[in-house]
Amino acid sequence: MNFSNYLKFLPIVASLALLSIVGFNRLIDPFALYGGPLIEGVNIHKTAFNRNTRMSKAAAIYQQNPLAIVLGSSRSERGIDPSHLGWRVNPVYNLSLSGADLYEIFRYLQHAQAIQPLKKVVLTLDFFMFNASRSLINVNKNSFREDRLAVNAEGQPNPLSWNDLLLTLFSLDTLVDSIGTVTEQSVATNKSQFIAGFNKIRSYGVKSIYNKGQRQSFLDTEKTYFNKNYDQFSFRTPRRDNWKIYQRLLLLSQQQGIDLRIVISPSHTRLFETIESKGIWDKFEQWKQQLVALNESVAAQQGKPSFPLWDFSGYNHYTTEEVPALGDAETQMQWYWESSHYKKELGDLVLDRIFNYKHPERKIVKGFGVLLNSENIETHLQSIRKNQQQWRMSYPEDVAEIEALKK
Amino acid sequence: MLFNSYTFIFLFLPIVLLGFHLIGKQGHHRVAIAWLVGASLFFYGWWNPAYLGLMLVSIFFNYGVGVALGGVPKQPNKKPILIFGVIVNLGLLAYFKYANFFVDNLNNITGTNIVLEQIILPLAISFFTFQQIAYLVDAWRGETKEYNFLHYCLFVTFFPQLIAGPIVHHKEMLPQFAKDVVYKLRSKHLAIGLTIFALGLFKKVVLADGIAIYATPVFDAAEAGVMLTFFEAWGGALAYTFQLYFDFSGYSDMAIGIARMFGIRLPLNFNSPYKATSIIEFWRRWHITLSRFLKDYLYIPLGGSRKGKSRRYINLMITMVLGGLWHGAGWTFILWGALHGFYLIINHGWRVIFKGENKTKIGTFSAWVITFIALVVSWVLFRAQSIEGASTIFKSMFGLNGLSVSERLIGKFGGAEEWLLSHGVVFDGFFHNNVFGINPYSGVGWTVALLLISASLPNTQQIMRCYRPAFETYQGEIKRLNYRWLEWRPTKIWGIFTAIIFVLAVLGLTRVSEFLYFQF
Repeated sequence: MNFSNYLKFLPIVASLALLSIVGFNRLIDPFALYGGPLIEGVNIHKTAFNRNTRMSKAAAIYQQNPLAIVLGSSRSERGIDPSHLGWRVNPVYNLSLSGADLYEIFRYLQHAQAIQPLKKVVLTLDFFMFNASRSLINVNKNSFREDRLAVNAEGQPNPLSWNDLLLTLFSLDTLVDSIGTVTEQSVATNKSQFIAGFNKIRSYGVKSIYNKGQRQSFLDTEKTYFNKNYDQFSFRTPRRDNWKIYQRLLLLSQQQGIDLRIVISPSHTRLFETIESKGIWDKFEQWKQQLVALNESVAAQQGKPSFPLWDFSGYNHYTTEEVPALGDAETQMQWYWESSHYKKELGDLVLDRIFNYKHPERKIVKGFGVLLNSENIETHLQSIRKNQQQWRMSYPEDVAEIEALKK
Repeated sequence: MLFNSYTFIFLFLPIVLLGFHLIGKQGHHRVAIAWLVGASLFFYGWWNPAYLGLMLVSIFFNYGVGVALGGVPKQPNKKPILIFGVIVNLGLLAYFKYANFFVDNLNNITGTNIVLEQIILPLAISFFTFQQIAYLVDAWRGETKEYNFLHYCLFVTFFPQLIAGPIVHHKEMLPQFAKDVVYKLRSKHLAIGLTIFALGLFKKVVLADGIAIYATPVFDAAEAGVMLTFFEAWGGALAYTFQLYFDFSGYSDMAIGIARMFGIRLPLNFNSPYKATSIIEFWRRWHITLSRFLKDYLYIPLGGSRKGKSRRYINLMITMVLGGLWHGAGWTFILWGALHGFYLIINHGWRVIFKGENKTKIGTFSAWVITFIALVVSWVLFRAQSIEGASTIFKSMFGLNGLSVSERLIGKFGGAEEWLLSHGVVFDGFFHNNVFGINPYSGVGWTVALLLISASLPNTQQIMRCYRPAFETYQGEIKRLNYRWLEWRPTKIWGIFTAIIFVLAVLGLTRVSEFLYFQF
């Protein structure tokens, strides 16, 4: 072959290679973006779906046009079931995003609302989402992209929003995930499965749970509150004002007539002890006060009733569930994976409560879920403080264990 | 504009190449050069047109000073002109690259509160400053010939080497522009250039970016104060070691390949540095054009090794610390340079003590291992954003955070388990912070694969050796392969190989970036 034949040969081989790769990606569709045949043993389980839920969930909204959604972090992604009977609308999609911050939540609400006006939204809030100085924002930065959403932050249609479909076809990462999808089909049923955006996990991802038991998972979670992410907890930084975003979210929901239910996550009491130990309890209380105040002020502005805001974070029968001893890998907790992630069983009770749904086999112990408003907030916070004192006296070892994480 | 972008590969490069050869074919060589200069300025201005002016001023100034210095070599009355020229160049670099760093440190030390706006570093300023300082020094020495201004502009701005090197020398470049053969489109150059470019693009996009996802979160976690495990720290440091090499050498390969499509040769910049068995050898293989510059224009003018042993070591240290600072304005870079200065001093001292000893296979292998580990350690300083971040990683790498191994090993050590536990070993998993990528074991796979590639496979220049891909700085440095069939020829097999790696690399430009599960 001489040089000029070599130069003619290259584009021919390159085009063939390109076509086969793109065709393969299209067929396997590892992120469930393009639709198309689902073949048993080939691509029926989309095992790569959760590798980038910010992309795949944004696309799923186009395909499923949900009338109701769940917004929140990985807590609600694993805990709030779209097939719960209390929803009374269909379809429901769980649009929660791992490690979401408030801005992302607001943008995904806009996205879903633009594609299909929503009837119901359950918004589950975690304290960490409101930390504007959280360096995790930088981690999310890579997978959170504004231009893939249906509208921009001002609500105007986004011309680039379908870009993902084309770009991912022509991508080496997609090829790797396509191959992964095919090879993982046989073991896929053991892994997490996503149904309408809900992560139906069967076992918890952290391996130590099997060896040191769930208490180790609790400790692993609590430890993260002592790294730098929480050193400067603030609701506002020069580049991010979470209260403003919260207001915009409320305003959008009021104006569009969405039935919004706000939920403060039912995390385990050990997480609240961690917040106390970190020295940011005052911020935690301020957070709830402000959630209530803004909810009411935006409603008043619009001349409408405020949204129901439920606090599940107190000290009650569920949140104080006993944690098995360190090394006890046998005992499985009924309600929790670890301090901040609750199980679907508890999530079902949350939904029962906020939808006022009566399940024949489920009963809610009194004190789980308190509707907050400006009249009861202060007494509510006081009673939590009182309960906290009692809890600390009853569980001195847990308190000491968390205190020891400080160093 | 980056080489690894669709705009560059599918628009800019084909258009510039076509234009250059169409003009050159007509015999309008000056116009063709002007076309290349214009294209290079566009390439530079794509990033931020505001700094185009700065580069042009720098070019005019240095060309003028060069003319003033020309003529009889080393005229004493012209030395002030040289000093003036060098100071202006360094001053410009100092202002744009180091002013913020200097003011921050001044504020820290003296407690003052001088506010200086964040100065944006103009792209490539470090490279074009050095190239032109070399030019001025050589003009004073009388080593430059009568150069045409247009040729000089191209020497500084030629886009393949403009933003990330190789740092070219006027003696290599300028004579090439005067040759007539350059202006004819040759399928030979195109085929060779394209192949080298494809290899470089693959190294950068698939290999470097592929392993980066294992390095970045580890360094980010260290900055956030996460207590890394021993294996996470080493995993992150090793991953970065390979990321940097494949990134930078891939970029150099791309530069060499692109230039070759125009019939221009660039100097070799990387020659399998991780095969080095000493730090001295490493610096003859890593970023060769920079070491060459530092040696010729800093180390030797400082006195080199001509002023006695202790002065030699001092000179080495100064050269390496300034070399470190050249890479970036920060204490981590200064420390990185100092560490390499220290390595080199030990290396030279060792050679003095063990002169004449025979080399054994095991000795060579140990030397390679020690050299490689020393390099991995130094890259931590190079990558970390702060001294605290680096020291967090070092603590874990040197076992100060204990050793955590897999839970599956519980009960596997028999009687030794008690002893291990009492000596700080815990069974919490090799990678329990979840920061060494989403799947740590695939990270281990990547690390091993890239170690094998960089330490045992032939490099781009060896594969392309039959066609003299690059200028050698040290004669004979591109070693002939033992297996001739591995040397590139325009054959079907090589065509298939090149086309496939090119397609994979181009598809790699679209990243479906994964969310890194960072405890939330």
